[in-house]
Amino acid sequence: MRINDKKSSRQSNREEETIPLSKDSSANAAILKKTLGDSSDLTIRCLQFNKTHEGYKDTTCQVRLVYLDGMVDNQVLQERIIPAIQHLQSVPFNEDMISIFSGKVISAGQVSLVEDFQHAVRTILSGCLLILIDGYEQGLTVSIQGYEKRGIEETKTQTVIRGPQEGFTEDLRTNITMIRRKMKDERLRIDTHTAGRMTQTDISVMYIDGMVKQQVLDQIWQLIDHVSLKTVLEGEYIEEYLQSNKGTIFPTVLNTERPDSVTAALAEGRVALFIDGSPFAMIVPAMFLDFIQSAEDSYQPYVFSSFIRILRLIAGVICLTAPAIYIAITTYHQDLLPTQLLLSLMFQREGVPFPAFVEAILMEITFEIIREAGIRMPRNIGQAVSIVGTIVVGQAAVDAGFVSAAMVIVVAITGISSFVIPAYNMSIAFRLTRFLFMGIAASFGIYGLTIGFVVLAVHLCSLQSMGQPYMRPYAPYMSGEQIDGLIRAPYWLRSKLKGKKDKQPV
Amino acid sequence: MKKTGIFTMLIIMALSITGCWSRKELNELAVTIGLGIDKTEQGYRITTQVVAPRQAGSSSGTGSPPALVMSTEEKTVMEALRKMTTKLPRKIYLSHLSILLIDEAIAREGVLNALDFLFRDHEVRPNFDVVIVRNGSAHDALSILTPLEQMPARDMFDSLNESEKVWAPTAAVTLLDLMKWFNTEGQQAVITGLNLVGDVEKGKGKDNIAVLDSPAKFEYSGIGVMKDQILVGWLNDSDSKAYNYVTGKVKSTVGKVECPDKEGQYVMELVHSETKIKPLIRNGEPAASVEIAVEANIAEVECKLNLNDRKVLEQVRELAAQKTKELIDHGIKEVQHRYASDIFGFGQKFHQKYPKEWKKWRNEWRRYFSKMDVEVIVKYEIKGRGRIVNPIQKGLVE
Amino acid sequence: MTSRELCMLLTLSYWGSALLGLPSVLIGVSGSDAWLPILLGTGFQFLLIPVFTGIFKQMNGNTVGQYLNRILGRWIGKGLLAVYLFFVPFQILVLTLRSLGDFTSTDLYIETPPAAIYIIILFAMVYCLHKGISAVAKSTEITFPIAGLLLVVLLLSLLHGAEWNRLLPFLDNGAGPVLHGTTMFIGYPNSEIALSLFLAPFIQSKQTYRKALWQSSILTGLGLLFLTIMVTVVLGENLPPNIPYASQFAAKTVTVGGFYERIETAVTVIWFIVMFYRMIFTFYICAHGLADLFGLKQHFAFLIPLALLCIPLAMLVWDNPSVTAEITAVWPTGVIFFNILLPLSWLILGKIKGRPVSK
Repeated sequence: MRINDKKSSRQSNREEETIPLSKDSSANAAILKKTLGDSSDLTIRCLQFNKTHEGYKDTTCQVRLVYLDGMVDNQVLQERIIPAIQHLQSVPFNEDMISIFSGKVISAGQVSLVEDFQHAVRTILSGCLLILIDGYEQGLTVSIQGYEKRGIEETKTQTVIRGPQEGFTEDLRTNITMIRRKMKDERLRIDTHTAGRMTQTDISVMYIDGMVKQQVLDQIWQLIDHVSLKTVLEGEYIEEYLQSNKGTIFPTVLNTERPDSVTAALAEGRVALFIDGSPFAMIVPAMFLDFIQSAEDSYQPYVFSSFIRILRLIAGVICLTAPAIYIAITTYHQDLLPTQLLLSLMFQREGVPFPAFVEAILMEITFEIIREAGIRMPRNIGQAVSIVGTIVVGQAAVDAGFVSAAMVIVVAITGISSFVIPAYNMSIAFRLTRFLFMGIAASFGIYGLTIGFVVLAVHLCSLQSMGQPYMRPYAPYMSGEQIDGLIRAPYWLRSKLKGKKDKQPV
Repeated sequence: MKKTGIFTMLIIMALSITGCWSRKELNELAVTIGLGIDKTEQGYRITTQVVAPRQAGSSSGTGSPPALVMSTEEKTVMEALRKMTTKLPRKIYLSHLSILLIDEAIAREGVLNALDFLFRDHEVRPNFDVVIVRNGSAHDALSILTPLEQMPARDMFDSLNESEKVWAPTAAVTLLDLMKWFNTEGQQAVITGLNLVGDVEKGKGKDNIAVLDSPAKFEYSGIGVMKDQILVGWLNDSDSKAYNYVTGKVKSTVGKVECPDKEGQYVMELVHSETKIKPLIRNGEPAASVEIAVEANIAEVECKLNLNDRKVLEQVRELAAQKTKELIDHGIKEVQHRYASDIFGFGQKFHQKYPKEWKKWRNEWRRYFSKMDVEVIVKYEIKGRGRIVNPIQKGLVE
Repeated sequence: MTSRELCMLLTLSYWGSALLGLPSVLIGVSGSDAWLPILLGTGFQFLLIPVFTGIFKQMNGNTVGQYLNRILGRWIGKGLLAVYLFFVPFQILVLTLRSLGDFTSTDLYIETPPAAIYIIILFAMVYCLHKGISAVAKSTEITFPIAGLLLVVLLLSLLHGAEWNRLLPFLDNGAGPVLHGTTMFIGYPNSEIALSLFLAPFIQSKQTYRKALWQSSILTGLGLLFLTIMVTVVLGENLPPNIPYASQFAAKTVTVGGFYERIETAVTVIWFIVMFYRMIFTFYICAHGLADLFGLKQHFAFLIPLALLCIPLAMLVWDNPSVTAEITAVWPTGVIFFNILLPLSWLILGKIKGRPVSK
């Protein structure tokens, strides 16, 4: 697998002053050792062999292997590289050792040349084997990275009942392989670039050539070049640069742990970004609707999928507005309740010392605390926390008369609804916006809610993801894309319509 | 970024400075479900029946009454309502009003002054029933505890609507109906009457719901005929029923008819009825035909009849139709001659169909109405006979 | 801006305050024939569409200010623009704001001072206009279906209490009241079609523009027609003139089966939505027109001053509610002059001056 197609060219702008390697391999090794601060895992092995020459006999030549222990595949090193070098007894002296090494001796990994220390250090740090040969101002790097990594496992965050179960791992190469296995299109392009001054994290941009506008790619590269962070550990570090609208909490970059989702996105002409060390791929552009769609929708009957999507949207609306509507109705619009319901709500509220708004805020914040505790706790304790939190605290609060039972119901429904939204970052946005709605409902009732809703609609419509309108395909309305919007049309219908209007390249 | 910051700040400021003026927490409301207006020397005595949520909401009855009754006297309705706060820690909340009781004195004098507040106030919804208390005061009527429903006013509201549906001599008149009627030419208003039965003083105590046969009850009886805003008199049960037939409000009722052999009676249960009023002009004078299509079941039979016989059934049908026609005729005559108040809305029908003629008659409509010729046509249809065919009797079924 | 968006923005803006207030006014003038003026008025509006598409063509992608400068010369053009801005969009903005305040303070939030109501909606509008009128237009794709659906629900719910012969007698008092009603309807909200010219720079082609005008006229007409009919058949012709917010009152009367009731919130919510769009539309026109007047590219600088100006004006515009009736009587005359006769004269002038040089 060749992944560094454009790597070197892209790095040129970052090139600092370079110190070339010298001909003396021992000196080179010493400088490297000094650069890396004599770290205990830096291993330098010196191999000697005799070169034969008509004039000279038994000239000792030294080859130094420099690598970080644990980063290279020891098996390959021991079984294939070292023996091969040791067997190299009868090479004519005047031959170019470098080409012999790269062409004949080393039968593992990808081999490339390094000429300066910076590059050499970087390759060592990324887990390559550096071979220094006496008498040459060049070194050879062999990528035989073999560090320990997590195997491919089931996805933890985006589980499905039907559909592929595998999820990405932390290893970039593995992840790319997983996509390659699914997407056998020769137009698939993968560009890799590093970001993070200290972490030197590899970022791979994956797209189908010809389906993505060059501007979008240029924009992405430009944004990534702007990343001037010390560390890049997760997609979020990049994602915040990729957000076209900075003043919003609604996500415009989709995260996924699922290779099938990425493949589908690529086929639709989107761009996927992989961060080395993160099992989450990022997909841009991402519309509002993408966040309430789940991979499973494509694997279940279309009627059911459409139903579920609508249900998710409703859940989103409930999550956003339920407490606000409760506040608005119970403090301003009591005449909207049926008499019996009003009486039973009144009965519950008798003796509750707080106004409904304070009550709601208290309960919502308590709920958020319990949720956060449940996530941060070790998994088995987390369950205990959530049980204690929901059942015991809720019940006790009602019994003690701090809050009304109806409020607990509203908060519980809100909480559960927020779990229904498949994308965690979208659910976060909804949860935060909910507090704004509660505030405005507490001061202006239905009037405030309506205004708030319209403003939210305008806000969402003003957002863009990589130049694409966020509320597409509903605002602006695109009839060609309705086949996979809130309603998922059956596949046979889709292939029928394909001739007419395919999803436009983004 | 800076702009966003300023905006957020301004919005938060706006939210915190403004808001909450109109806020009413649930436990700050005195939900009033029944309102009574009595005429006194001072002006009006307003009685409110306010829900006590602690009792009303709990599933296990706490023993104390579910509602409390308060009354104040003042010159005007609104003043009296506001004065209520001197006795009650909460603000009277009228959105859930389900019944309004007026005493007969007000009805005789004219109801508009008493009702203006209710027409105007934004809190009041127009869907509650309006009833005139015939013997006694609205205050007494609201003070009676009722056993079935927890809220006495709800009880009144439900039983009025139920009786309109299945009994027919009552009319559930809502505030909205009154608003429309008082505004419409050629249409007079009616309001149902309510009678208090038994010992009212005893009925106010808890004893009223402690025993099976409550000492004090209320019952609806008769429809009050209004002329403009003044109550002019009452219709008896059968004339009230006639009113409901003509206005097409009968959904279900029962009517007894004398047997063909004059021995005993049989009872017809009405299941469906439809009324068409056709305004006509005969010799330049207004006339009307009222066509009523009735579907009924035989519900109770005392006669010795073979109901399997087509002819007998036909006879039964005819007698029933005749009886219904007589009832309606009588009702219309009674209203025409005794009250001369167009509660059936014939005038409105003329206005809609013969606008030109109506303009001539409108000023003297009362006179025209009272001598108007109304033809009643009853189309009776017997749908079923119930579970058994003939009365249980040995030897009758062959 | 697509034709759909323009159509929905215009429809919402026409519906504006009309959904709540128009039935009462029209029934007051034309009695049980109140539906007829709407039909006639909508028909009249169809006749106006060619005028505005004609102007659209002459504008050739320019703003109204640039267009007026071209056909009338610099100073007259600017003067006329200023007068127009003040008398039409700005007045609509202030009056709409005021009627919003009146509604909330008579029916929803009695104790809340109208100023608070104004401040919150003006903030919302300033925020939204910062996002751009395109975002506002796009958002109608979301809000219009909601408002439309609620309206349909409302109309269907009103069916239960309908008595259809309340539409009779037909032409009780002759054609006079109907014609009077028609002029009222043409003045408000029909003639506001002229305001759509201010969005012309966002519209790609004449076809798009024409389609949007047709569709919005039809939608507006249908919505108001059905609403007025339902209000008439539910409340009769005598009650609504006495109830300014007749459609909301009609919704209050809905009771089906004892549990389907209390749906007037539907009206309130629709009304807040349409009011918002009506105001943001006129607000945008004022701000943008001012920017045009002073030769600025961006209108953002005018938003906050305009908003701040609106609050006291809305509070001072009349001192007691009965002025509404007087304004309702005078309004059509002025608006018909500004929105129909003036554009007509522009069209003719433009024709005389000949085709503009394309930019």
